[in-house]
Amino acid sequence: MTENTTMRSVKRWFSKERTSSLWDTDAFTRLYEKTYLSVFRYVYGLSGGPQQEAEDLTAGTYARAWKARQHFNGNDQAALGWLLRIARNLVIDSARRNKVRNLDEDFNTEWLVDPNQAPELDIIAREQIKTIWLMLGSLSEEIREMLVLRYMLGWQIKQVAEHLGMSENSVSVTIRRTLQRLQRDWNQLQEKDNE
Amino acid sequence: MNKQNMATVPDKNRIEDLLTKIQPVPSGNFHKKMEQVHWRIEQVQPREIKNKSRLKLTVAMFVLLIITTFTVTPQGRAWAQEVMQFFRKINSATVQLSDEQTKQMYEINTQYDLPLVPVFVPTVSPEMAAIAGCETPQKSQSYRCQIALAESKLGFDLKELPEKPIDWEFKSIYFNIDLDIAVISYDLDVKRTDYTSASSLVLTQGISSTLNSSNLYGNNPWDAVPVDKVEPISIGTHKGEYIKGRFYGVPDTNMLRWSDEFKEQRLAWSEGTRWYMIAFWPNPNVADTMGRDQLIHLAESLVTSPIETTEPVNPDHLTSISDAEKISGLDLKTPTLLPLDIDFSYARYFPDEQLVRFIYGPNESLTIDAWEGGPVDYKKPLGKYEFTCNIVNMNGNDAFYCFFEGTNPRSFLWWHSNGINYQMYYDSFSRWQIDREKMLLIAESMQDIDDFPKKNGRTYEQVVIYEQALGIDAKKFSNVPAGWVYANFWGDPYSQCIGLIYTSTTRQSTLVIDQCKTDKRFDVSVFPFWSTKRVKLGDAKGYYIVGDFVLADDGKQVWNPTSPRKQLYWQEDGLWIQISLYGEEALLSDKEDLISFAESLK
Repeated sequence: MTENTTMRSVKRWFSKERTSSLWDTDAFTRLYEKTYLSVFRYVYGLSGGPQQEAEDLTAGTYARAWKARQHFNGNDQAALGWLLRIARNLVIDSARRNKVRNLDEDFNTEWLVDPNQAPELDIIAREQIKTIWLMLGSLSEEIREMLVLRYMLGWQIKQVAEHLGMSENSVSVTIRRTLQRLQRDWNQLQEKDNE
Repeated sequence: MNKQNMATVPDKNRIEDLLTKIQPVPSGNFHKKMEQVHWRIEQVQPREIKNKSRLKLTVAMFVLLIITTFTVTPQGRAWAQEVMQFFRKINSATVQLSDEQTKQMYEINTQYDLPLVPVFVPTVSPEMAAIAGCETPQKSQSYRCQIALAESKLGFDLKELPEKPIDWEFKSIYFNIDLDIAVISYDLDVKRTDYTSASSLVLTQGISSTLNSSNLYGNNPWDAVPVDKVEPISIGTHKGEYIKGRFYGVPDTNMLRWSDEFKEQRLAWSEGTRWYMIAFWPNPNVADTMGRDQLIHLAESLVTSPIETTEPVNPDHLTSISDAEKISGLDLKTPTLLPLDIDFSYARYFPDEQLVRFIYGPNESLTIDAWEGGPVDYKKPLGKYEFTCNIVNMNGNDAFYCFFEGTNPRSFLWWHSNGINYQMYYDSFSRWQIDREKMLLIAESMQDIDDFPKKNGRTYEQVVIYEQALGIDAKKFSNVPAGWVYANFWGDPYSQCIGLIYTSTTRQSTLVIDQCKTDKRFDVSVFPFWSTKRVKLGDAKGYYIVGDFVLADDGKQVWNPTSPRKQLYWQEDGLWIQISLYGEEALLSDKEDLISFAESLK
């Protein structure tokens, strides 16, 4: 009786916690401010753009999260993970609707401007990034997601592994092999162009 | 692809470097769009809506401040007598806030600790004690006693619900005999068990040949309405008006924008010289809330002689500790120390578990569960819940304290005493926090007391309790100036302020004395410099300000130097002090009169 009552009380309170923490618009707005850039980059990276679609999917992620906030419980990191899972579902649904992935070939690289870099190097970097961006489109969704989390969001291998429910070793090996594959593909692409 | 740039195939490190450089950013349009999403616009609301515990005081202040504005100015009188109007109608779907209002809206951005205050059980006033069945403090808080007192003081019958609907609970009543008005508030959907705050319904009514409901919220920008949104209606044979929606704050601006999307509704009507207004704020979680037709039906059903019934004790809404003890058969202890403004709301009994829950504060921010049984094993893991927990000492015994610092910090404390398990849970509300030591102090303060919700204003005796809690040694009138009486007070831990409110016994006027240990509310730069004069108060220098912002028909805030508001600001003995005079007395008083008030404070 006592143990059951205790856990029931805790659970009941947590159902309150779910409604009152993110239920609170202040808290949800704070969460948005902290996470929107990560969610946008994740969506952009996973969907391949274009910008407008990534923005719509990001907005859709928060709209869905707001509706479902009562079902969430956890800290800031868990909240970001939860948002990314919502975003992932939206990206997959969108891809299914569109059938063909619309990789953003007009990929805007204005945000790449590095004041410490010589202009000619900047141009090279832009071209190289465009190349790598287009090559990402050939990867499976699972691997793209791994790269997006690791590089575009700057997560540690451990965080990526936890989020994806994989071992650190699997994530590490997969990323290493993917980098090798990208280098190989780039090489082949260059040989093709030289022909 | 540019062959030149492809010339060198990057190595793995360079590919990693390139991947980290893919950092797209959302466009300006995205940010604009996200400023307007529903959950963001709900964020910027008037503080009185967010914090319903302050609603009563706010309504009272509006009534006092706004009615006087409209009744003491010639324009106001002419307008009020012209035609019975409802609401403050403007020809705009946007409203500009004054600097003062904008500052208040965005005032609090950080979390802050709430001090603890002793639970205060008010004594019964002689007028209340004279009403049969209202002799004890608890009985005097009942709906019947509160309405009876208001009617006897006001001298007219109030319109009431014919019968209290199931799942509605009387929340509070405010009345003012000089202004002939009464404001009755109800909580709705009280049986909901998901802890979200209830819907609210506020019935305001008055009798006056010169006043009407439109004056009530006349200059408050949050309560203005675009004229084209007002719908004429009939309440029986009486003419009235109905409106759905409200203004909301556009984030990071000083603008309010109207939205019909909100479910808030108001309707107002007059019957001869009597006028009525119903304001309904539904809980957004409740799907089938009242709409226009139900509210009209409710308005038509109001009576002056409701059916008197003896309500059975409602296990979902017990209005005192003693009722909770009776229904549960348990001998329970409850706090004698509580965080400031977190007062007892109600108790709930869960018969299946024989568990009593005491609920305190707005948004049910503090709850205490109590049930009979052996001690809980504190070492049992909490499973998926990510809390930091410690065994703590409480009155020489072990207690279990856990906390979590997330987007919404929260904590709980479990202990066992005299065969009863207690579990206290706290969720920070509106940036209010209490730490472990305060949780322990609340738990250690628990005794056999009979607490109950208080239905009306705070008494002057409570001022000293708030002073101690806030660490303020506030100045007071050794003798209240002739023609003024104490009305209410407020305390604010964020700015460490106490505000004393007095009303005039001879004119429609209000005197407010705010005293703060910080300068957070002390900003004269929000007023136009041409209406601000430097003054001397003894050795101190201060500011004297004449006039007020007035909401114009185009939604703009216009400074009116002849508006009935005069203020005096100064700093003395480590306190930032502000005296504000509103209404008829403000028009008749000058700088010397305000300085005289200031010098009477000791």
